[in-house]
Amino acid sequence: MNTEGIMIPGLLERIVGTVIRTLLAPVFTILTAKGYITESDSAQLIIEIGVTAVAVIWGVWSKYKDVILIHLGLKMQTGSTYDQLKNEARDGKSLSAINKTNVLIPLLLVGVLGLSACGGDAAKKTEEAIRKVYIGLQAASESVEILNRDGKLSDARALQAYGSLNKIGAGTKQFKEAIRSLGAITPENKGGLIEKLDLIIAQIDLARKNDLIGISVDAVAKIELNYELAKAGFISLKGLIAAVKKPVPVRELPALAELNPSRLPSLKYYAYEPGPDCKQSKQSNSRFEFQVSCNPFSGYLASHGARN
Amino acid sequence: MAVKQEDVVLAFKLYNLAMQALLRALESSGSTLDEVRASVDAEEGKFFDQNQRRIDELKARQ
Repeated sequence: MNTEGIMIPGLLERIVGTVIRTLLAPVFTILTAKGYITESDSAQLIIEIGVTAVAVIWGVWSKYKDVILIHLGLKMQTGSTYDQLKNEARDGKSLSAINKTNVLIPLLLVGVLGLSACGGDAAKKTEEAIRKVYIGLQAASESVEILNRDGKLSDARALQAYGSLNKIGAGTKQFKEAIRSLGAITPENKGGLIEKLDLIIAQIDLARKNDLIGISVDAVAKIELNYELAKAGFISLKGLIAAVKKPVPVRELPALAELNPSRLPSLKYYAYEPGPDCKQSKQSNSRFEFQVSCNPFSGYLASHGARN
Repeated sequence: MAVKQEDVVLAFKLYNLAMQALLRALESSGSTLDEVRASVDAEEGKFFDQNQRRIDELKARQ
């Protein structure tokens, strides 16, 4: 199976796909029984979501293995070969020496927030962060089109949203050109780059606040991920550049700075659960905060209203 | 009931779109810096073209 360029071993796809579809089937049975969706919608959606979930799981698992190798590689002596690294990875003692929780949580955040954990040239990482921003913006634009076509967003609001996305894209392009034109990032010029990034992040937050007003909170939650993807790319770039203390050629920016969990933003997810017995609750771990609310608008207001 | 059916299908469409975006973000865009830059420029062009097309379609409808 090849989903958007990711090759997934056939057997793994069949196994994971079966598990996912088995887990989803009862959910869809309930939705169909209550009349929320038709049987034909149900069958099609199970297939689509199952395929996507398999590819996401495989993608995150592949990145997890890469990050383990990076952590092991950092501990090995200079001049070690790739075969030695792979032998270390097969050694259970070395793996247990790495706190896998510390690897997995930032990896999941990296995956979710769009930061790349592959090894390689630092300039590539910067470019890949910018690429993720554009992917997030493309998805946000398509989300607006879906909502407009389904009658959930007026033409005027859709135009406003497209305009905001264009501004964010233009800011991104300016930043990309600025960073490519610099031979080195220095403590003197990094301030200007960080200012550009702050402006773009502020534009993203403002677009989220203004352009999603009037849309149902369920739709908002789905679009939020696209905005977070775009925003996280800029925040990771900001972290990389802020860490520069002496002149650093653009090609040699600190490569693994983004793996430091303290540099990653936290995510807040809001869920609306209607019903007479709805109870507000809150769960959190060190990086994620989940808030269940009985008020359909509280999640949206809490995530946007307090900020501006 | 018809309204709820549409909302559920819409929610799944948007979720699927978000997951597809996440998948593309996770994959590598090239092995050399030049390949990655070319990929960035391609994604940039795709975003501006698609966004503008949507704006033009909306304005044509009005």
